[in-house]
Amino acid sequence: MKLSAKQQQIVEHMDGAMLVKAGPGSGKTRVLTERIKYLLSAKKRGKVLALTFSNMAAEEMRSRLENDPQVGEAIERVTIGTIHSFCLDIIQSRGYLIGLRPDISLFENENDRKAILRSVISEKADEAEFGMILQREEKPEIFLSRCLSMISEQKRSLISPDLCNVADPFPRIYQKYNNMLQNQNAMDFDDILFYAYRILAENLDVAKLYNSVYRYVCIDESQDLNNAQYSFIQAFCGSDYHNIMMVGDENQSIYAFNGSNSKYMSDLFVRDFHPTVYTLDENFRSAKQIIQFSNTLTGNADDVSKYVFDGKLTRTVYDNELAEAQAVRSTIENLIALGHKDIENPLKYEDFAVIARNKYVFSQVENVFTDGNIPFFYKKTQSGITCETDYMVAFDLIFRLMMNPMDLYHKQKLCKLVSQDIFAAENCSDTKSLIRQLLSDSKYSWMNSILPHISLDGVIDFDKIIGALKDNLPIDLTDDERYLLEKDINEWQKHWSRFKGHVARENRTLISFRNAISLGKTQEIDTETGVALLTAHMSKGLEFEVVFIIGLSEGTFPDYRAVNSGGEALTQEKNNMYVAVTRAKRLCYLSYPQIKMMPWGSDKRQDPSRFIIQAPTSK
Amino acid sequence: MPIILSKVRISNYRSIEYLSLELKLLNLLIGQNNTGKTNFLKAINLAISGSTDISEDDIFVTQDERLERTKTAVIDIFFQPSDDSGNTCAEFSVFWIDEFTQSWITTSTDGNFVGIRTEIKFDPIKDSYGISRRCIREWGKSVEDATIETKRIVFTEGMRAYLQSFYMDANRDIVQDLRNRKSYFGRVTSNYDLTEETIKEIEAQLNTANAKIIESIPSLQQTKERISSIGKTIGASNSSIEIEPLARKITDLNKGMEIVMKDGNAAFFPIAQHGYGTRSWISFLTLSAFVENKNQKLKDDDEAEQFIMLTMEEPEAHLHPQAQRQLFEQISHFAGQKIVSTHSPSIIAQSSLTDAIHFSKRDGKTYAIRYKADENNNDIDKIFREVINARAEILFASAVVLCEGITEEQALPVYFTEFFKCAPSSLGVSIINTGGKSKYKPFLSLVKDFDIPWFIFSDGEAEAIADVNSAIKEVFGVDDYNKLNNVIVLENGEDYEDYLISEGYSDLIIEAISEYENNPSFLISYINCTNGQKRRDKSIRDYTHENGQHDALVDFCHNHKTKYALPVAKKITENSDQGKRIPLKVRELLSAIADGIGVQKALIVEDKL
Repeated sequence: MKLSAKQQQIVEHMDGAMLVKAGPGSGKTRVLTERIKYLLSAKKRGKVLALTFSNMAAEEMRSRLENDPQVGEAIERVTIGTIHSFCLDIIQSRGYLIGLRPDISLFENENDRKAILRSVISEKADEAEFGMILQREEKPEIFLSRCLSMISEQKRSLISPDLCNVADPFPRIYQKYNNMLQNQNAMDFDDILFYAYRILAENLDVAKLYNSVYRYVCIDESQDLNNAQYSFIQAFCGSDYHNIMMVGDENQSIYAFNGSNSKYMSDLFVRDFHPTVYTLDENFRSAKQIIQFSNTLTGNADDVSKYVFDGKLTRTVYDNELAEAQAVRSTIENLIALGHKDIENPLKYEDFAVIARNKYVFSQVENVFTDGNIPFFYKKTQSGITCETDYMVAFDLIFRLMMNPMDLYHKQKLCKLVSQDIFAAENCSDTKSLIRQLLSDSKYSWMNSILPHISLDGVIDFDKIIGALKDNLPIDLTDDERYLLEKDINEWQKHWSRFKGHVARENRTLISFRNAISLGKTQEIDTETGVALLTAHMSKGLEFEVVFIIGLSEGTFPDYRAVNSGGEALTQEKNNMYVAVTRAKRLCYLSYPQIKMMPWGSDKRQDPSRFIIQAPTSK
Repeated sequence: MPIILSKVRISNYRSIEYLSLELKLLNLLIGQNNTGKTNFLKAINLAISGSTDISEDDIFVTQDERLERTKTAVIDIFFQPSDDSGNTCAEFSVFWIDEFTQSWITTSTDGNFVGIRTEIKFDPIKDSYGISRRCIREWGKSVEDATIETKRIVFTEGMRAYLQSFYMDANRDIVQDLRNRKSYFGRVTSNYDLTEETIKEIEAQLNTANAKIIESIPSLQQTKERISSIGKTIGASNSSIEIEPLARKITDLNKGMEIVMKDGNAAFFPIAQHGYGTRSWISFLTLSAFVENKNQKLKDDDEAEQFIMLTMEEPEAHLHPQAQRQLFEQISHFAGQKIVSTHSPSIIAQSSLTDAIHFSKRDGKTYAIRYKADENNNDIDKIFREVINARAEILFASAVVLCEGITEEQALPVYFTEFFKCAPSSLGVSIINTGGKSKYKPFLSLVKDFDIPWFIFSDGEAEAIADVNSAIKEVFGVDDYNKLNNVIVLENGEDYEDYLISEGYSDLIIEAISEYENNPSFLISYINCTNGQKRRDKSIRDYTHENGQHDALVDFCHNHKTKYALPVAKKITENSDQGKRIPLKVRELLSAIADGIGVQKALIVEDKL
């Protein structure tokens, strides 16, 4: 399909900053890919950097370019990844400039961070003070989570402990938390941006080098940039670099809780770079009624006459959540049986999605679907790898130790797992003998068989490691244990296969594999079947022929807390709604239950969400 | 803007235990055979070319050492941006930034660079030795001190395409090259960029010529018919046989290619009939053609550049001095960086001292030193020319003995042979006459900078001693020759002739001269002739008194210094009294030399004194 005139204009824009306001369904990914192709063919040399929001988006773009015959070998000149992944690369190659060691580990697991924070607060030296804090708290777990969030917030705002303005004792806790990470040669997720920013900001010649290498930078989903990310981009550009393209839609900014703000794209970027502004507001995805309704949310007054399909968007009120769920089910069954005039092909379950504000709203739907044998699934977005068996937890810890001998936290975890005193293990000359010593005399001793196949700086052949595991499984496992263990091993194998798929053999080192897992690069691409059950955040970037949005009552969607605080929080809710609605291609069913059961047992009468007031009711 | 390989550091590679050198645009490796120059060149080629051709034999081990699998060989190379004269600059050109990419480029306050570490190490997983390449982020003071990125990376496409290293060994020969498709000649001549049309046209003409030849030569025609009958015997129905005087297809042309050379009015002769000098020279020129050919192709891409490293052994092979100079001119104009190992004084004389790197081997280990330009000493080239013009072999010596006169220069080798039972050259020792007074300095500067063991054998005259002291003070900072055991000075103000006579060799001297002149009464004639006359110092010769003969001999020897040096020395060494075959002071010198070059005293016949 040919590009529209507007799209073509954007594709052929060469030098100079550019802001593309791209609404949903406007063919944004296509335009980005085509522009990259154009840039590659226009210049013989020089690289292009494309930063995406998620690994999936990066994969999507990469595979489109790889499979395009016009790109061919020039694919080597494109670097596509998330901002975190790009920053991690910078840290690994230039970290030494700010005193970081090259084998720095990533502690991405929330529980690991909590454990470190807890040990900081319970440290003997400060027990008097900090220890009290934890004991005073009614719900220490929640306190720790909040504390971690605050630390994240500080890091996202590029505020180091010594410049932190929060009331005492927080800055000191923050500092100690950081110290504990640094002492073990480790960092957390937010450090990735912070460190990369520092490297570029403190070493202008490095930024200059990157400028020279990357002639053009394209940033997708720019409405989700946060302070740290925008500052990083500024540090990258210095004062002279202008070939930045930002693509985004302020109406789809739904990550404010994470520090994201569309002002970086719409205000600061405009102020700092004076970009040419393009608007892509043609929606090639959705039908007329859907677009008309979504316009009421954004206040746009597009001319919808050119849209081909009429589609359908209605709102309905049901007696209660069960009735709502049943209605969803019967609609699905009818549509699959009879089809719809505006939908060309017969429908299958994968063409349907049910979106709700949060996962609790789905409980009735789950029950009803199960009863009616309607296949469904929850879309997962995770990174990292979860192990069911202790054996594979040990497996992961072995890798952590091999990669970073200074990682005290994981060393302790391993010692605890094998029930050994950590001091007994102190006098080992190298990590492998340490591991051997820890594992022998325990039920994990058979795992020593993988050690000969691991070389730290060398390329690893993970298949051999898996092979060693499978060949040496202990014989005294129960059937259940064996089942789980094999599932876990297969999980690792799948991550390895996906990793192999996009990394050349000579770059398959232990560190790059483990980091890829941590960054979510090896996550399973969804090949799930059935109806998708999603929150608005999980639905980002997807599209379905038919979308149900349920639980659209005031207090649920929009969430009651946003209703109470108003302002930005409410705007976020509106954006959430906008994202949800614009997932629909042809048919969109909005609904809410008149009566809702509260967690403490009583019923509550629901008012319709302010967002659906303008939607036509069904007959 | 070009790039230059400005630093190299090698650890545990073949005969090189450790070596760290700076390189310039032109580098001459000088040193005796077998000192490790070829290993050095091989290391450079390995590091640049990205080849994987290695084995465990490439790792250095001492004599009694057994190779441990943990031992690794390391070759570090350092590229910097430069101008056309080889001076380093701060930033790479856009082209090189694109080709190296940020993976390989490191920024620093001293300018951007690309540091590549090549390691040969044992891979326990593959159970064999392999090569790995990593990026150097900080050069550091030594191999251990450097900051290396842990992630192994491979050369980028651009690096493989635009970094080229060529090796020309001493045995190059165009005749071999002609037969070898993979030689530079083979590659340049099999690179046809012809259109289909042209190919068809040429091949048609070849066919016509072939047919005409066969047709015109009856015996050829007959032979062809005869051997065609093979088709029937082997039962092949559709076969046919042709005799091809000329290649039929363009792609086969290089099989029968020949180079013929015409010397003046003589006829063209195939190159195989010319001498090795010509043949090896032409082989070098085909490399130039190859490189030029590549450069031509690059011209289509007007930003593109190439880095070329030429490593070459003995360009002088088989060539006479003038030809050597001309070839060297051509090498100097070769566009790229050059490391040339040579034994030729003619070639050395054409370059500058600062281009030279001296190689030596001690205890099985290679040592390499570059001449350090002394800030106080601006006359580098002057020194160089003085020495090289006089005696270039000094640069190749294992030890150098300096003396001020031709007499000593002739006599010392005779004593040397008596002491060591072999000629000085067998042990790499050069005995050199500095050519007059006050000439020690340039020689000493050179041997100091190249760390060549040196010795001085000097007259005891006040002026001579002053010369020695002044020279060693200026070059080595030592103010008295007595503090050094490699400086032997005759005592009592005597010169060599005085010394021999006072050591009691008068009879032997007279015998030697008599034999040489075939005149047993030469001394008497001399006395008669010159008695009563003035010497140069205005004193009157008086040979009439008791020691008259002695004095006369002294004067006679002084007047004819060099003429009899050799015969006298020979006579002395043939002395029936074994203990007196070598004058004591000379023996002192020779013992010091033995210590200095590590020759075991046991091998020397110890004369009983």
